[in-house]
Amino acid sequence: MRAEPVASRLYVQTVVEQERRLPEAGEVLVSAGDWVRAEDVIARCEVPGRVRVIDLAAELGIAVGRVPRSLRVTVGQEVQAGEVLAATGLMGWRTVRTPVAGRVAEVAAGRLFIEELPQKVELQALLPGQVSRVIPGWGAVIRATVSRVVGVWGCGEPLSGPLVMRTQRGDETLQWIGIDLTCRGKIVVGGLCLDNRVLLRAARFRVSGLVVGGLAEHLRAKAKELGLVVMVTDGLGAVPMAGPILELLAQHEGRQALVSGGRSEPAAEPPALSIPLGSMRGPLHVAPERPLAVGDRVRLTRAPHLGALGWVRTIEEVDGQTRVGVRLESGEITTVDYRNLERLS
Amino acid sequence: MADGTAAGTYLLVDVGHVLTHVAYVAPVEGVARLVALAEASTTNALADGGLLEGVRRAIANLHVLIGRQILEPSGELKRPSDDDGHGVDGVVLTTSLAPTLRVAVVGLTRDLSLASAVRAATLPYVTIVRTICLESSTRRWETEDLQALAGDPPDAVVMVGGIDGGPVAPIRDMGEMLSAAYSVLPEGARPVMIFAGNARAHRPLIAAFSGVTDLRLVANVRPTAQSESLEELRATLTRLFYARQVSQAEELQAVSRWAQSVILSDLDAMARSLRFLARRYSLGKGLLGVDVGGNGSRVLLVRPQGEALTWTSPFGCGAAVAALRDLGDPTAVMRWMHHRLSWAEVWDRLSNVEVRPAGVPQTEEDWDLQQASARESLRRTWSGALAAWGQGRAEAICQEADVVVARGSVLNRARTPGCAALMLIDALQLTGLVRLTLDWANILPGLAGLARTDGLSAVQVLDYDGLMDLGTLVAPAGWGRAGTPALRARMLVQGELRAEVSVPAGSIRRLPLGVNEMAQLELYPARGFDLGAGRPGRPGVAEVRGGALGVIIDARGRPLQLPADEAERARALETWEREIDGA
Repeated sequence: MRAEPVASRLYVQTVVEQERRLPEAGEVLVSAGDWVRAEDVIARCEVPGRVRVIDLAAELGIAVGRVPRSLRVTVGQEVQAGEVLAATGLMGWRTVRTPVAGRVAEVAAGRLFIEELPQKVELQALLPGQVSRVIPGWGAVIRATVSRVVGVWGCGEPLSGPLVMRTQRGDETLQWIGIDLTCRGKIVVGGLCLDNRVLLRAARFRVSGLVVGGLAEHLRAKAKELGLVVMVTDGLGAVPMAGPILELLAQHEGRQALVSGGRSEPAAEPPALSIPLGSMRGPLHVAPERPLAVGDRVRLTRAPHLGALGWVRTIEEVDGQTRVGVRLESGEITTVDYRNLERLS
Repeated sequence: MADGTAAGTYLLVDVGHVLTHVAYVAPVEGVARLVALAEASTTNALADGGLLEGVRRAIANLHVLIGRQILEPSGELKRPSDDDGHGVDGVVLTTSLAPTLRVAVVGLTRDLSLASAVRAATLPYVTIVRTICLESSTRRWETEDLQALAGDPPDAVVMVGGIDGGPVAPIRDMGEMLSAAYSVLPEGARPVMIFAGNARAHRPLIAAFSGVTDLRLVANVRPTAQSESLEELRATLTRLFYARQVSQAEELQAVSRWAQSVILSDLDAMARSLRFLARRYSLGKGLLGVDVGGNGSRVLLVRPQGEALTWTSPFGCGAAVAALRDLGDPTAVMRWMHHRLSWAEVWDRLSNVEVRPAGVPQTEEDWDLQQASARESLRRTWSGALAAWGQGRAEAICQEADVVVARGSVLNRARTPGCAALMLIDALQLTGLVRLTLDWANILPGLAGLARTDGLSAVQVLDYDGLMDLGTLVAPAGWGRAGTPALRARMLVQGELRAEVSVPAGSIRRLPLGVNEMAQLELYPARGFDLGAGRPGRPGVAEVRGGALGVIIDARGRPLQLPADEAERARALETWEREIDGA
């Protein structure tokens, strides 16, 4: 029998180690063992601005050697957007202005390099818990007891907010009218998102995040373009949210949660929703990932039963392949490869 | 080992984007053999325990198969092996996870130094992100080029220009401009500069880059207008790749420390294995390696002379189906399917494969879709490679390989060997006589690593277990009306006629020839078909090798034309699949 555990997508209670990392190296403000609240700033840095290259010689229509004489700024000087960088003629009849605010970083061979102003970034903990490890210069790992749902697709940087339910059933479609001002700063949960207008409304009313069972495939690009934090729990297309996930989220409606669209670098993290379970400061035993077992609640992840739920009846090895017999909620019995299953327990 | 008897036991670990494969090599009656294979999903998420957890799970699966313990209960490797066969003596690590080295090439003369530098930098693990030529009389930089180099700095910039002893001023100007551009960036974001040009320019360049960024001076790629010297630049790029992309990847290093073994790029290792194969089998032409991966596809052409040509593309069969989807043309994939699905259904299914790449097809439609996406991914990768390598010689390049070695789960786990062969044939549109093989165990890269420590074991595993022969493909170029005679073939094995067949145009036929069997094949193409014997219609005789499919005669013509009518196309695809499977 294969020893590989089958990934679980739903944890009613578990301990997570959430890495919080600055986009650039900076200063870490916490130490290992510290307890932090969601809103605490744990690290900060300055993100250097982009470098812009402006070809002064070409824009002024002069030889490279004449550029230094036409300069109206010096290296190191800060400039505002629209400020004159160089001009020719006694009256300055031909001028070049900076398109962005920044610092004049260098002038060489008729080109001027402007470094846009750095941005100050403050990194919040977002998840209340204990700092288990500091990543020197970059951030910290926060350990917390949570309920957790791991998604299959997501986008956007982590954000926190209270959960708000917008559909009653997992196969119910989110309506754009359901996203309104009351959703501002909240994580909206719904069964399916198949309508572009839902995303537009979510962006307009600045929801913290959107958690849906299924998302129309073509809406992924729109979600990214709008800068939304979206997590898809079950699949792309009209795939309903699994009942156990919807039930868990409904139980926690109104509670603060953290939603993340996941990332691939520097260390991969799947999209996930974590709901902190209060200040449990004692040690907690968490069962390790384990192989699939008879009786496990599972979700099927390939056609023709994509998104269907069931229970494991049998597990057998056939020609080196692990085949799993599953009784679906509909009563139908089917056999699938173990790779096409996810545990929901 | 001096007497030709293998003694050590080895674990070959290949960490891919979707799956982690492990292979157990041990002596069997004095010969190193591949004893067992296992795999597990790659665990690259921090929460899953990092890459090491996936490696341990794959080894745990191996324990079940071989009945020996390779891991201590603590999860550490048991080494060396003991008298009962538990543990291993060595570990070889290969991976496709290390990102390629992004390199920009800047030069003064397009046809001389710049062309040489591009040739030197055409390495399996290097992506040339920008090629800039300052050839005009003013040697002015385009603002767009500078903006790109400063806004999205590559890992390294290769500067070339001038023959040794030539003028220095243009190179100094080039260096000063790059130095100015990069002095603006934060230190950690500045690329490594490599100069492989006129040796007289070393001093001014050292002055230009002093205190700005790391400058490496290597031998001029064009010491004279007539000569070329690429080795030192290649070696420097290789060192840089392993130092920056592999050594600095924290997760990979954790696996490396655990295994006490260096990590090899799988593409680099694959190229070494293919080169060895080409030499071992004294191949007259070359060897084409293709890898249809979950996160992209790669092709390598290893020829008797010169460096391997490589090409990578974002098209693949796991998360990389996103690249196919991004084409915005569902018909690109659907035209290879004989099952009818709506384009919306195709898109949804591909998207779900993208987010759950480890799954396996469950229905006939899903199998069909997987094969269709593999064909299209490989076809686009191959077209890209031909465009990059060919420079108008695409047809000649197609005929430069006499063996194809293919790897990737989509091929190794195809429903039948015929399906795997058809995916390769359709995507690459091979012509002439070509032997088709599969790296069925995904161990070719690992064997290159093993050869470093135990060459004999590597060769023995390669000879006995390395490749699965699918058979020899006979594919004449040209075209004929469907059903008209295209080619007649007679196959003699040890002087006796085993099979004779007349193949109509638009069809595929197979002649029975077992693995390791050799035969003499007499081929008589019809007037419109060319086997590469000099002109269309000219007959030929060739020695061919058998395989799981024997000899495959593909008389569908080249370029392959799919019927325009949807129903007719579906029927044709189904027929070809049936014909190659011999059903």
